Amino acid sequence: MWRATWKSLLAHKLRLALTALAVVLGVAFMSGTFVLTDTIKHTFSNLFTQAASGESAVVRAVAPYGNGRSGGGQGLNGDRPLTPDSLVSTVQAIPGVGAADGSVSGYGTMLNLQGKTFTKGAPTVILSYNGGGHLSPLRLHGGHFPTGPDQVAIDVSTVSKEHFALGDQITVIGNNGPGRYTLVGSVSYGSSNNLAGASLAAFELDTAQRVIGKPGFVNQIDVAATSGESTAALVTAIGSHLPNGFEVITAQEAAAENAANVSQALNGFNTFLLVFAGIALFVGAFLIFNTFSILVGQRTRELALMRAIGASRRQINASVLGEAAFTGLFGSAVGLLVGIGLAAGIYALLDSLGVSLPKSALQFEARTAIVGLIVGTAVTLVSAVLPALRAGSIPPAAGLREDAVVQDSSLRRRSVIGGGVLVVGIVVLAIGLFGSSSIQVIGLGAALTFIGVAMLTPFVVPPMVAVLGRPLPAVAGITGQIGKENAARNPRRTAATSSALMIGIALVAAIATLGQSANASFNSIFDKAVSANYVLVPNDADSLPPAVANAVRNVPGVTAVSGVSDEVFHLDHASEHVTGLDPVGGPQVLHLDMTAGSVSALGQNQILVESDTAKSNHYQIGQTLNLGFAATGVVPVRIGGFYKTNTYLDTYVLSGQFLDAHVNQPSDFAVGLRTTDMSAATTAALKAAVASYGDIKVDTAAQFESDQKNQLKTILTVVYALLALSIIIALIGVVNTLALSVMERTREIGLLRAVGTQRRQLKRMIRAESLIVALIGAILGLILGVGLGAAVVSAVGSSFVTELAVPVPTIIVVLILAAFFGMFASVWPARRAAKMDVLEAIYTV
Amino acid sequence: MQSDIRDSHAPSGTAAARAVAATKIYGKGETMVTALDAVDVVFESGQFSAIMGPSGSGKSTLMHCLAGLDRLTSGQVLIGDVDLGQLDDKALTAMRRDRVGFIFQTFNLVPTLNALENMTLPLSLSGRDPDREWLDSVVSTLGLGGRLKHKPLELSGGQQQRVAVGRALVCRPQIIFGDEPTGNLDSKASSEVLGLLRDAVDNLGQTVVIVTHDPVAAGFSDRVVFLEDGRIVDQILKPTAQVILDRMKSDA
Repeated sequence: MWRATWKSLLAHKLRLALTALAVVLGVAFMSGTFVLTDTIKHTFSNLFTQAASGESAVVRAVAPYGNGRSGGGQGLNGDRPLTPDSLVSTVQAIPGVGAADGSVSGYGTMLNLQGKTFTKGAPTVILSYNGGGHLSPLRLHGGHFPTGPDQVAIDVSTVSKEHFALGDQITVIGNNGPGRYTLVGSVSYGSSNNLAGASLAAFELDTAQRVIGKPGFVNQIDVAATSGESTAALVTAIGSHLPNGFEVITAQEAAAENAANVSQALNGFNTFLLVFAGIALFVGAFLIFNTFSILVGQRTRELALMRAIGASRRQINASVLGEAAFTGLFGSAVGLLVGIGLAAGIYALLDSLGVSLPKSALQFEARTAIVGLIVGTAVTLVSAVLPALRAGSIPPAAGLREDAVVQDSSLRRRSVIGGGVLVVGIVVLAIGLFGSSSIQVIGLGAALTFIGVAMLTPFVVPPMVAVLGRPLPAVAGITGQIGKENAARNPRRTAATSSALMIGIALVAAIATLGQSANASFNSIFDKAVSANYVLVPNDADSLPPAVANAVRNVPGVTAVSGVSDEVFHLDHASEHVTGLDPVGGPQVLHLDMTAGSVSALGQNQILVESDTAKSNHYQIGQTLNLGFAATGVVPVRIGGFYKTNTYLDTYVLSGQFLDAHVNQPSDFAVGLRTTDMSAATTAALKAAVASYGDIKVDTAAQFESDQKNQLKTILTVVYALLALSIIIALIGVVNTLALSVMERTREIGLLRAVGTQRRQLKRMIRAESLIVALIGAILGLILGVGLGAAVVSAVGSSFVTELAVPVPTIIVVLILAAFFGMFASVWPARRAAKMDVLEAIYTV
Repeated sequence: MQSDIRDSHAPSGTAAARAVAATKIYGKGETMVTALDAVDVVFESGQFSAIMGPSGSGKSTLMHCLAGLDRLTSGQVLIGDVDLGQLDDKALTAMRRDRVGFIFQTFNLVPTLNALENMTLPLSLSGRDPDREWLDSVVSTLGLGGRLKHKPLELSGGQQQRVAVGRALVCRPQIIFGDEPTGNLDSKASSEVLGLLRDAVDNLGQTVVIVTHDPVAAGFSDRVVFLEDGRIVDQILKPTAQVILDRMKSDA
């Protein structure tokens, strides 16, 4: 029996190769993601270990809320309070300590020799160098380390890319404003020429503290043991001497923690990509199911013969599943290799984009291979189960009849099951969207909905073919008509092929609907949220030092200014985002539409709460909230009022000045202004006022609004690109089905050729069929996708989207592309059909 | 007998199809098979001819080459005055479509098209409209009146072959080829189909060439050509089934 399975595999190797291709692409996407993220993690882990090679232990303040990388722009080590300089000498005096150095890390902005930022959205990392030799992760490559307050050392990669030379005056903007420093050295971070693409600027400790804005404080104390002292003994010794609120860990642990933070940051990215790999495999499952169904159908007589000569039903089932297992295993294995290549390619691409990572071998972990092989093979096997069962149910007598066809399960049963799956899918989807808001539930609901619709699709295929194919006979004559008839000939096959395409297109349409609605809602949301007439935003750095807001305060015509910051505090074990605004200028540049209390409460260092959040938490005006700040601990603050939701505000608002005192390195993501006029002179004056901060963008509110819209478009484009893989797999499905259908109709094609059908006409016939199949998939996908998008729009609520907009241009583009790619998919099958030898074809048994 | 054959080689203005030194060789070296060995034969217009011979005699190959379904290794085949060897695939296809009619043993019809659409298929392929009057007369001759909208699967084997005959007649080809056109039919349906072909020759002046191994079918023809080992070995004019049967027996 296995011999027969093997022979069958060889006989159908081309068809199975196309099937395996679906598995290859899905698994490649998945394993490529794993290899890439594993490699980056490994690289960072190496980097941190290596950078910490000269130190034994790290002393630092205890993180009050765990080292959860709470984000919010507080700078490196923003998850814990700073350590006073005075502790350094205390630690230095502990027996066993050879050297102890306070070190500082934070963010700034570096300008190139043209006075422009160049770091492509990434900040410059500010580090201190205290002359501690190997205690520092920095290694000198040229010149010397900074020895005075006006000196800086910069990473090798930036020095060479920006053509800096020793002695150049370099501008670094920190929380103390722009400063000019003499470049005295080029350095690396461990063996890496920069920090994963971020530029480095190293200063003397005092200078670094001033640049970051926290004189007298360090982030941590790096400790080296005296020779002969064990790390464990050192840690114990230091631990017993530290005051409350401080801790000591080994340098190894610190490196592992840093690496773990990178891992955690990458996990989101990893999951994001895996979702798209999952979608691709889901679409691939349709292709596999369809191919095996067709192959079993075509082999009815052969399988019946095997039953007749004594093969059991189970042996037949096993034979088909064996074929599937081999196809899946083979496809997965190739997919793994392609995935490694993909990861290597992306790694090389990152390198060429200037994200200089230390050279590291690609990390191909056992987990990647195991998960890839299991998932790829399992998807193939599961997809082949129904065709295998159908093969087993072929009666032996079917081999004796000329026109034997496999009995399909009744359409009635199919409609009942399909309808049931669809209803369950929609219910689960609704629960996911309006109830739990969990992405897993939404995904499950969407998958069930797709399966349900796919099961019901055979019912709509004949009428859709009739409508879509109506113009074909007029355009392409009898060949168009035959193509149209062929599309309707086996509704299940057409349905399965179209359904695969439907899924990818539905997701594109859903995203497009969401995007279009957000775009359409944006004007009214923006007008309701923003009352500034100028907005300053960083052009090429990720944040602005608070000094920028002060720099424009006295420009003639400016009536109100507020920096806008986003930070995090902890409240009852949950972390909450809070917006910092100038108590006077803030309410003039962003709408604070109060439902209770007063905006003036901000000036009294009270907190304002978004009204829905206040309601669900049963907050009262005057109530005290104990805000937990990672840098400064618990701060009791009274609630001063409630405001209506605003897209640019978090659910809590505090005075910016108050908030800045509770974070390690304050920064604004934008500065809003109101001015008496918006004349060219005012714009020019604003630009002049911030000129020394590099190329900060001075946007009018309208420019800012359109920039925001463009950002949305960019995000949509990325998602479309990731969905493209699923659509490519679905198109491979169209190619495969057509090729199988062409083979099945060999005699018919022979006859058509014999009675005078030109090759060109034959190709046109197959093209017509392909076109219809693709359009059915596109139309169903668009209907489903716009519906799905509309459901999401109504679920996400008013802060993001207020009105539903159907993405008409996208729909038109999708239809045109579907038609084009549908016809493109027919090229190879059509060529095969046209190449057939007329005589051989017509006398095929 | 041989002289008779040579007489029929004489160039004739009324030849619908002819083969000149037609040779067809399959394979190479040890496996080489000569299916046609310098065959010279003429099929005159307005005649009903049958090609007979044992399996492997080359009778099907001869018909396929005459009909433009296969190409010769050397020699010539002509439909009317057109040398098929000079035609590229496109022209050859157009030749089959416009000037040749076909009736195969089985699988004559496109399953997605109904009877009428199948009959007019060659015309549709060339973008021509059928001559209504002619179409009606063909349909009424075939006796398919009520079944024109039926798909092939809804027709009996005899009805399917009659539709195939109809397709061959509708475009008024220069010559109609039948490859065992009654091989799959019972004797009643068989004689109906052969009767239709006979009528087409007698009443409409059609030219018909069939390949068959059935003496009864060959008995409907004006002339039977016998092939053996790729050569024409005999012919009988105005045959009857009995004469053909005797000829076949004498061979055995």
